[in-house]
Amino acid sequence: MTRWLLSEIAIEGFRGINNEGDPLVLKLGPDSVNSISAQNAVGKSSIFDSLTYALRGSIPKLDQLQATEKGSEYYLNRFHSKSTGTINLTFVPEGAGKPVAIKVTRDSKGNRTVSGPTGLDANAFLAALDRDFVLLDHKTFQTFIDDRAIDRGRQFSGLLGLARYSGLRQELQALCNTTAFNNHVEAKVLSQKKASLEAQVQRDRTAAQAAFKELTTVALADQPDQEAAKVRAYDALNQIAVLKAHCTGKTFDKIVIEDCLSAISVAEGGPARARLSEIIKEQVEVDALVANSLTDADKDSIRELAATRDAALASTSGDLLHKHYALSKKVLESDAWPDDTICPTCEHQADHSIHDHIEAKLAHYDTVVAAAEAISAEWVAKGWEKLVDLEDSAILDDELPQFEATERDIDSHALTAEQVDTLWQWRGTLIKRSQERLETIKAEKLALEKELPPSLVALTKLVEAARRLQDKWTELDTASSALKAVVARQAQNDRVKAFLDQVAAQFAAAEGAASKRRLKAVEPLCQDFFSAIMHQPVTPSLVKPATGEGLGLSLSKFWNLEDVSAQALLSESFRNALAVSVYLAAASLYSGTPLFVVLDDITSSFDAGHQFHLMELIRSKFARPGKAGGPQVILLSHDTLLEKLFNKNVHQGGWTHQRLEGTARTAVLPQSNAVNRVRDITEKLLNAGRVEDAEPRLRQYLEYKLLEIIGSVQIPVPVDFALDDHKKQVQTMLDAIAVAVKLHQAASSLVLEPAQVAALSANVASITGNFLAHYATGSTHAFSAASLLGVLSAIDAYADCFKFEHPAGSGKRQYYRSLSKRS
Amino acid sequence: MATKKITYDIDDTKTFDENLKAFSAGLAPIDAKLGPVLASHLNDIAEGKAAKTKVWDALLAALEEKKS
Repeated sequence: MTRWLLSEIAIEGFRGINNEGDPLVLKLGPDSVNSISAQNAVGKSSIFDSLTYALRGSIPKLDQLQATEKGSEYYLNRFHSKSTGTINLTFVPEGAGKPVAIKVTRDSKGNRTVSGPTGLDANAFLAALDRDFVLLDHKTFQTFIDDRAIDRGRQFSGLLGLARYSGLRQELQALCNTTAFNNHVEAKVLSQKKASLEAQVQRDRTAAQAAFKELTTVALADQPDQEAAKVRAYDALNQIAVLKAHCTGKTFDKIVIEDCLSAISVAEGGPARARLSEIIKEQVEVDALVANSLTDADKDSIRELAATRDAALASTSGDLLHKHYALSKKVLESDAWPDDTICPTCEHQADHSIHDHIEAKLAHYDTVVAAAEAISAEWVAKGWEKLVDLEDSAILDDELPQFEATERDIDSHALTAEQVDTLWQWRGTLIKRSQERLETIKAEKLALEKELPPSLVALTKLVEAARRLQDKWTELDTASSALKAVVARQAQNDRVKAFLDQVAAQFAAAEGAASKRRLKAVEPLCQDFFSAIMHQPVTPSLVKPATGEGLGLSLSKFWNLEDVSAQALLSESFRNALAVSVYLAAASLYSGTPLFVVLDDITSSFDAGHQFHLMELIRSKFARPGKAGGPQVILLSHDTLLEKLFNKNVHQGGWTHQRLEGTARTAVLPQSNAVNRVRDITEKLLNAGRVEDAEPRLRQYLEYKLLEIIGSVQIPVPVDFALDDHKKQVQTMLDAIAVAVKLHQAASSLVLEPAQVAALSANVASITGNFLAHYATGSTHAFSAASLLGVLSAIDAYADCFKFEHPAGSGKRQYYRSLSKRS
Repeated sequence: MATKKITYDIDDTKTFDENLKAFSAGLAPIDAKLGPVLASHLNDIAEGKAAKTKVWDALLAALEEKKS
């Protein structure tokens, strides 16, 4: 796995960086801590935003603004005439290898393009670098502590390098979601079909048993198998002399019943026998229709379901609002919606959760759907559809078929309780008509039986029993085959579901184990980092429950207390220190492909002492080159005290510092040789008469030079120097230098030439009288370009008092080693 | 058909893609017919690009093929 460091960032036309035709180019030391300072509103956070867009494709803080703010229109610099933002990033591999340059652009329509070297998938390259710890700011740390345990756990999963594992686990769990899977494979329909077919098989079997008994006089259940039963049925017909010719050479199911009846008719009877046969057949059919198995209890059961649905339906407000609620719920659940007490339709701020309100509305619709499904299932399970045949048999020409219509629409329209009552009444009418018809048939049959010889009647009954047996066995075969297919389909579904369940459970267990393992490795390092920042007897603990994704934060030690809540007890600085420790510890152990970390103003909640501790932790324990193999750190800061520390660290090596100057309207430029660049621009501004622009830079230059003198000749400063009020610092430094010079003079150890000592007072007088005195009182309108140019020269002359020519005659001047030693 | 119980562990020294490959190879022992089919969709599933219905249909189709 190649690990990548960031060697250059070039930005034009993006956020607060205009730089039209002259991009802001930041050269970064891959094997160095890189600090970048800028005053507020100079473009420091725009660098962070640009990197965020390049790596992640969006800037959440803009996207999460209310729609009326039109955050998407503020990705690009509003002063850039071409309305196109360009971010060029150059990465170098750890060790040796060719650099990779990636270009990311965004146009005014929000279109993003990413390009890189031929053969490289630039989007995939950037995606691989997008790890949670790569871009860190104060808000990220604050959110991490304030988040719910579940959100913090998910974030932490990303920190541990487990985000993709977590994503796969969630996808696998979605695949074995029971409701979604069952809907897709129509599990409910299959269950209903199975129940219906089982009932059909049972009915056919019972009818076949009755027909077999009538034909053969023995029980079907006593036959050893189906083949034996068919032989027995065949024999029952074949033994009748008049039918033998129609049975010979055939199996039972191939005997043509109509031929048998014709033979009987020819042999023994005439039209009366044929009519008897028809009547017997008709009686069987009507008997079957009337003997519908539905009971009053069945009717009450489906009516109760219909009444439940009616009640649920009354709580809803139609399909249009259903769609509206569903859409609103999606909006509220999206990351882009800031607050679930704000209505997504009218943006009215409510005093309760709109999401909960909509959930309650949608629940009514779900109840309606569930009730409709229950009605449909009940309809099939109890065999209501059989009433269609009854209706078909008994309906009059001018009547509408109600059961046929209901059967056709039961899945889509369900039933109301009132409709159930109507149908039940209609069923009663149909049964009454069928029973009346049955009475007529029975009367005619009785008359014919009296008219015809008994033998003929019995023979015809026997042949009709054979016909029913043939029919029922055929229907039984058909229903049994269909049932077998449904059962097989259910078995396939069950097998797939069980397989997916096991795969998902297995992967979830592996991810959980990896998470625990990595947490165990991260925790001691996190505690070490936390201790290095805070230097207090407080020990944080990261707590992961046995199940679930959450991550709890506690304090295993808080002075003399044990196992207490981190969120409840810790002050903001401690909380931030804890978050910083967690992120840096995770990045130390599980950085993966990106080997750089960008930190944007992460010290704002710390006092100067803790800022120093944090920087020292980064320098010595976390970042390269202090920590071999550690990440490259890029620090963005507006803090002037920190900048002094950065400049000091530059002298120690392994640290590169740049200062940004400029405005969002014009250009932001790096000051790689900050002291000289500030001097140059100050002089340039003064020569142009721009006193107001020059004055803060002159102040900055004076601070730089005094610190440079103090650091170079090792002048002791008061212990509260770093914490002192900003406006008093320059005077404090001048005083410290003056005291040190006097001390060495008194001890006769001062290395400065007498002329240099004399020049000190004159230059201090110029600096104080023409600049500091007015600056301290705020009367800066008294400044003039000429007097400030004099102050600039006095600052240089003052610094030169602490330098000597070395080597002699070279013209090069360097600081004395100290006030008492030349070199 | 009862699925076979096996265990799987993430190797911390390997990349996600390497671990995914190992996990993929472990699917066939769970179900010889379904394992390879799910394995062929695993990359898309990991990327969040796989449609659930297509994965389900592919798994069910594999069992239909076996039957025929």
